[in-house]
Order: sequence, then C-alpha cells, then structure tokens
Amino acid sequence: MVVKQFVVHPDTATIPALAVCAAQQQHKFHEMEKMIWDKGWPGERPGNLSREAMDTFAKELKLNMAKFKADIDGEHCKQQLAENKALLARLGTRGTPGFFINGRFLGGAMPIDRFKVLIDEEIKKADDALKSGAKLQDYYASIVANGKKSI
Amino acid sequence: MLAVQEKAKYWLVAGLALGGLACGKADDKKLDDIVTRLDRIEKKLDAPRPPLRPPTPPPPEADTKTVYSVPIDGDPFIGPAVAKVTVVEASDFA
Repeated sequence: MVVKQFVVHPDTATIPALAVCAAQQQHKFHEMEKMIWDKGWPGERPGNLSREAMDTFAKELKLNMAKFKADIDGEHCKQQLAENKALLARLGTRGTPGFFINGRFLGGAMPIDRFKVLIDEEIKKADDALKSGAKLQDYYASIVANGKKSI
Repeated sequence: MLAVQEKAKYWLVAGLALGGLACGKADDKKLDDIVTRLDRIEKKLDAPRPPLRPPTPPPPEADTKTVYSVPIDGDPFIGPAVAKVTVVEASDFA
C-alpha cells in the first residue's frame, strides 16, 4: 500500500501534506500521518493543522528538528506535492480517497467488496504472469511501463 | 381532489347566492365573475404539470478495466517492497 498526497483543500491540507513528506525523509511518514489524524485533525475537539503544530508533532516523534524544518519549508516536498497532484489528476483522480489497484482506478470510499473483486483479479493475473516467467520484483514496474499515461 | 373542489364550489356558490338574494340583483355580475374565475382556477389545478426537476441520469459505470501507469518510486508504503498487488492511495488531510 503506497500513499500519495493529493491535496484537494489547499488551505487546510497543504501544511500537513508537507509535514508527512518531511517526516518521510526520516522514515517516519506513517507515524507523522497517524499523529496528524489523531492530534491535529479537528474531531470532537478543535483541531490544529498549523505549521507550529507540525513542529510539536515532529518533536514528539523525536525527529531531527533541524532537518525536519529544512524539509517542511524546503523545495523538495513542495515539488513532490505538486508532481503527485499533477500525476494523479492526469490519471483521472478528482478527489480523495482514490485508489489504483495495480494501476486500475477505484475512486471514492467504496465498499470492501469492490476492492476484493479487483484484488482477486489482480492476484490471478500476477500468478499467471509469474507462471509464464515474469519475476515478482519486476512485476509492478511492468505495469507502470505498459500502463496508460493519462485518461 | 375533484370531489372536494366540486363541494367547495357548490358551497361557495350557494353562499354567494344567499348573499346575493340579500343584496339584490346588483351583485349578480360579481357572482358571475367569481364563478368564472373559480372555473379558471380549477382548470389550472387539473392541468398536467411538468415535474419539478428533470430526473437525474444514473452515474456512468466507473472504468476499472483500464490500467494506468502510476510510478511509486520514493513514496511511503506499508507492506512488502514487492508484491503481486500494489495499491496506491490518493490521500489528503481533508
């Protein structure tokens, strides 16, 4: 399961998206993502998705703060955010959540059965390809190489 | 609906007629006007009406057959580095 940020609401989602990118540079993407949802996202209490809140979360995760600040304010994460947005939009993504299952698009929060059907089909396709000599480590790369580049 | 309208019309006309007897023939024209207008209202009520809004067409079936090229180099992931099925999620904090 791979996560790409697709910022739909820039006013609220940009800073936390940059924060998870900066945390990823220290291999703490999922920890930061969970902390933002648990402590930053407004739920039953007022949320705080500010830049300062991201620093507080980074400290809690014991990240290297100098590097975190350089990454969250730097160009690399901004560029990654823009590239992911452009890529996913080009492939038909219009909102979140959106999913690509071995490259096959499933948009929105769908019932689990919709995923199961596609995943079962893809497992069978992969098994057939492996039986025909494909290598598992190259399998997804072949999907990327042969897949459609835009809608 | 029609029966109720007929009854309402009957009582209205009857009431107006009684009133008319009391007031004399000068009001006959007013009574005719009222009945004419009532007929017009009834015709409007009985006329077929267009639906308030056109029916919404069903959404098109999502295309889940097309395979798109979704590179994942350097993106964060959960699970093994190589797998038979790779799911890419487009996510945001919203």
